[in-house]
Amino acid sequence: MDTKWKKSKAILGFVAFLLGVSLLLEGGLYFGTAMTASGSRRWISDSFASDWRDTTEFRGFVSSRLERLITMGAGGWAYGYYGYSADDGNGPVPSTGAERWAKGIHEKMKEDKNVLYTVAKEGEALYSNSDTLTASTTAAQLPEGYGFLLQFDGEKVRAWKDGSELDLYGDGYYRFDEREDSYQWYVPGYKNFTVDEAGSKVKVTMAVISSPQIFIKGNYGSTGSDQYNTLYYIKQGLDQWRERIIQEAVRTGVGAGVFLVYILLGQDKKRADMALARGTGKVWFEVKVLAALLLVFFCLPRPEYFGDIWQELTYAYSDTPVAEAVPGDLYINGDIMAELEQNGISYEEWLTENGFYDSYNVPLVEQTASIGTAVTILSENGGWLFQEYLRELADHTPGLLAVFWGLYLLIFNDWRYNKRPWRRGVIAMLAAWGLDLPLQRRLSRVCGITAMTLLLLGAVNLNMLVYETSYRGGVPLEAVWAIVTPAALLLLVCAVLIWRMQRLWTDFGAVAGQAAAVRAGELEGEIALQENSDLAGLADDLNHIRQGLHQAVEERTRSERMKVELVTNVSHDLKTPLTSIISYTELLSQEPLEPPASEYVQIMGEKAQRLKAMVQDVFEVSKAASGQLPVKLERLDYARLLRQTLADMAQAIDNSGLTLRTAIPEGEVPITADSDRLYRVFQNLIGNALKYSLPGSRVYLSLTVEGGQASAGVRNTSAAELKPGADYTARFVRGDESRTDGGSGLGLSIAESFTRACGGSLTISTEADLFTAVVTFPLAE
Amino acid sequence: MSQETILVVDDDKEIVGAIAAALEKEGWRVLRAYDGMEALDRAVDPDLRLILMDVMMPRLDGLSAVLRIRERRNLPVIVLSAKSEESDKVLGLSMGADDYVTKPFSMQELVARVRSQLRRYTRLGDVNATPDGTVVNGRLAYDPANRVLTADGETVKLTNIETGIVDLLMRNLGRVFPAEEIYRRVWGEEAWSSEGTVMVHIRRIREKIELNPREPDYLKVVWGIGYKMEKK
Repeated sequence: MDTKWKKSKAILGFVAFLLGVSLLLEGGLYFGTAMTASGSRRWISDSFASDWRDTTEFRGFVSSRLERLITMGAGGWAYGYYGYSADDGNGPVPSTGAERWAKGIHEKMKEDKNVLYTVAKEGEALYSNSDTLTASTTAAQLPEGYGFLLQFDGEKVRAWKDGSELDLYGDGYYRFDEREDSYQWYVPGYKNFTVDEAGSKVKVTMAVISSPQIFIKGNYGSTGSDQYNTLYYIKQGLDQWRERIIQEAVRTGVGAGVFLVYILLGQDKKRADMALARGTGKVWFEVKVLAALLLVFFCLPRPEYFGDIWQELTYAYSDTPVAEAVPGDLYINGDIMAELEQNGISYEEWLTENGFYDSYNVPLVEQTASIGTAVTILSENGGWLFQEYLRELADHTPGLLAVFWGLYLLIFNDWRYNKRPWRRGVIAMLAAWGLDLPLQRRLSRVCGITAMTLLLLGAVNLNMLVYETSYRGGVPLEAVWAIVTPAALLLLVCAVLIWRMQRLWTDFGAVAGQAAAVRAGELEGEIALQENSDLAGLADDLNHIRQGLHQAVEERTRSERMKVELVTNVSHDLKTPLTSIISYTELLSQEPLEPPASEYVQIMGEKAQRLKAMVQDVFEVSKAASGQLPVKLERLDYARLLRQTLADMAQAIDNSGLTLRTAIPEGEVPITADSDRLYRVFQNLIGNALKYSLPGSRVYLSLTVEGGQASAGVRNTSAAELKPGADYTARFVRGDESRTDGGSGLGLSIAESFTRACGGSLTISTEADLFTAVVTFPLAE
Repeated sequence: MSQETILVVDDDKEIVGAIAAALEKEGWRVLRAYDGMEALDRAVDPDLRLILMDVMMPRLDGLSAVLRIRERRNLPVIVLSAKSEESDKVLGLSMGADDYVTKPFSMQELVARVRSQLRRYTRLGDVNATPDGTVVNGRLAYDPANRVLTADGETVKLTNIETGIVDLLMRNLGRVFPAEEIYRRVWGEEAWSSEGTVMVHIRRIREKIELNPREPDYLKVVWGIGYKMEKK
């Protein structure tokens, strides 16, 4: 229940984030672009005006309609009409052309009952689309549904809205306002804007409908289907604009609210992010990057659009005249192409005809700009281009959102939570990162090469397909399917194979790791591969081997422990009678005895002491061999230890008749060892040398430091012949097997096991009669 | 006059016999016991001055017996054991034993240890009467003012050099001194090949103060570092 709620919270948090950001993004883009566009302020105030007839749009429309009606009445605007108007060389003159124009306009306009008008000249009504409207109609006499009245009396204009007269002229001067947002009435009658003579003879009355409608009527009899419902569209445009602004504002507001929800659930949303990252983490890195690139390419505004703008700009800024720039830097605009098409001339023909091309095959090179020009262009048009681009984006909101979320999911979120996302994918397979075993690396590389080939093939195919469809006017659908289906199948099969291979080498790594662990002596823990894994059988076998080995080792350890216990017990049991023997021998030796009895007692005493030493040695060596010897490691001076040992044994050395040559450095040679145990090691080694050396020969003791290791060597010439290849550290081995006196035969064995217990190593080597024992320790810090 | 009496406890009758013979030869009276329970019975003797106690015994083991006897009487106890591991020694001493002897032992050493313990106990009052500033360390006591070392209350005869070494080590119990430093401070000159010289003197001092010079309790060599007086 709790986890379920946690999960729902995570989902809720993420949805809130998704919705909130999407809505804010859209709203922000809308307000950021539409609101800053030129003239948008006028549009905003117009669309939120309480009466649409108070808007600048309305004023502009009425003004221009009035201008047209006065022109119609005055007989103007004939120049250029239909291309053959009367012009006698002294400027345009009133003619039948002007009348035809005016009649034509009237024919077009009259069915648009949104505006009723009557045009009179010198008291004679010329054009009217209303029976009731005359020059003298007052505001009260307007037909139903018409609330706005305007009258031009040949000099000034008066207007009434819903019965009350409007102030049109203000202070009586007309000013051109560049900001456009506070249009004055563009009508004659200002002190600085009057009517000419022809116009003064005209009287116009206009009535404007309160709620514009569509009066569609094609005028096929004379002028075709033009229909003049401008006012309706103005009104509708204002309404739509207002609705859009409100809609976007609401959307942004909702977005902000939802975003707030996300902020509250930030931690939960993070879990959703992590879950998504887990999902995307499984996808190949290259696929993600490719998908992100494709998204950007296909969902954002087409680059060609900006290419066109760019070309126009570079053209405008180009230092080279166009004529000189051809053929390389030829820029052809759409108009020329349309003209060529209309005239049935092929592009290539046109090029050759105009001398742009010597050869038919030379490709058209696009206008290019130098870097300097590009910088100039950007610095002068950057803001505009950026605005233009934002406007493009605002028109492509769904695409933009797709790109945004695609990048969020594939790049941002993925890189945030997945450590080193490039470690999974084609490159990773090729590089074989994190794979130690040669077989793993080989498998990985094979898969990497296959995947790369597939991706390249797929990309080439896709590119060809796109090229074919976009430049050659399309490929039959059957052909597309014929290419895509087998390709997709191949891809699928290979992906599955690669996936299986990946699992194979992962499992192989696990199995190999287990084998290495078993070899290293780690016998705990099993490998658990999936039941259907290719290596499941092998893993199972390995697990069994490990189990068997584990048992065997346990058994051996147990028996070893038992052996030590046995030795301990035996030595303990030996000690009790030995105590009696030693005690009574001692007592006996104090009794007055005649020789040879006194000699016998002395021999008994000596042998009892040796037995005591042997029992103690056996006890210690068995403990050390089983790793149960307690050691107290401390930092000590190896050189000093040797000097102290020599001083301690000085008497024995003097008595041996041997010469001891030492080479011990003056300075400190720090190592870490157990002081007492290491003393025992050298006591034994030097003692052995004294005992078994050829009489009168020399014994060498040296200490050398090399490569972070300190080695102390004891070298002596053996009195007895040394057996090559004998293991002198094995228990109860002596150089001379026939000798029965002196030592338990455990000296070297104790030295070896004590050295090891202290973390050093003892190596014994023999060459001819030279016996060498070297004790090596790593230098301490 | 009542004779100083020693209780010997061991489940091995022959060992008890040997120890008893050796001790009686030295003039002490010996009581014998062969297990812990028996030891408790014997321990009521008013002339009893010291107990020699084996550890592993039937019915009641040595250490438990020591604890039970200590509840009633404060007697020096020397533990006899076949175990020679450091941990056993520490355990025995912490349970109230005054000394520890591992089997097989030399009778000579055992007698020396018995004598040492008896002296310390009978002269306990003297220890408090030692001059101010005396360093007391187990069996040893050193009076720095007069440069006199006593072992079990008896003055140890030392040469000047030996006194110098003892002075240095007894004033710094437990501290390890390298040979050069000892040489410099005792001889008063820079050390030159001092290890052998110092070692010789150390060995001589041992002969005079240790009960078993081969396995010293007090004056110890820390191999590879130096020499020290063990703090008891």
